[in-house]
Amino acid sequence: MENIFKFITISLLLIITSNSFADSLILSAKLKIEYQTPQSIAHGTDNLIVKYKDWSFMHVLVDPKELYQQIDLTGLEKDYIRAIFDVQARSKLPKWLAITAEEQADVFGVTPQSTHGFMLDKAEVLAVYDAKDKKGQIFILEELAVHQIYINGEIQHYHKVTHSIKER
Amino acid sequence: MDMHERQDLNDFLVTLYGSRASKWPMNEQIFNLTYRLVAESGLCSGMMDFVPRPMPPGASPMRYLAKELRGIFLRTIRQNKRQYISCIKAVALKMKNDFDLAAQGY
Repeated sequence: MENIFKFITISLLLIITSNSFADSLILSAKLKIEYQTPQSIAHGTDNLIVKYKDWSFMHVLVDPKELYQQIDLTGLEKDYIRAIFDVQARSKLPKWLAITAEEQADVFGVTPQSTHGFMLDKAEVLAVYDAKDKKGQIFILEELAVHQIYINGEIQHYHKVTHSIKER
Repeated sequence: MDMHERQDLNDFLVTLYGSRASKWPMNEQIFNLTYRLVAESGLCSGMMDFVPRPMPPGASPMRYLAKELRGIFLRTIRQNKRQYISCIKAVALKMKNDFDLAAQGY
């Protein structure tokens, strides 16, 4: 009987600790994402997909030539991404690009209520969650790189990922 | 999908997403995502002509569309890909990870 009790206790501890174990995904020399152990991790052409039972997130480094196939945003990528989230920033862009940013903002569901932003040292984090589609987008603007993180799932997972972006 | 339909779908997606799309499997899941992309963009009137409505909730467009209509849809988006890309690029960016997930078999 005592052995059975020990076995159950150890099993429960193992389950609890394995579920709360946090791994680190290194984004850059200064940033990382802490995430709970997923069901699986897949490496695509230029992305990393972290998959859980009922949600996932995907990290990709933004290539300014690839964001849209017909627009090369090289040198303008940070201004453009800020313009998706901020009307003031949009007004500084050429009109045709401001229209594109506005259209993207509409599609992402950007509103004052659905977005938030913060700084992590010198990195700027801009995020939006579309409750209708249950999709989140997080952009991290660093000096040398721009990261995009897609979240497919409920809002609590979006918040979880957003708050797990940390300085190393 | 037959070989021609797969080629039409591949041509369209490569124009939209670049060479990464050439590595995606041209299967039912990718077709359904493409159909949803077109339906959700709602901006290209020429494309919307080929989106029959209403479709039962949760139905697979691949199975719901008659083969002939599916062929016309795919030929149309391939032949007009340059023109259509500009009006679906915002939805395409939002849905990019759906295609990546599907390509990985999720």
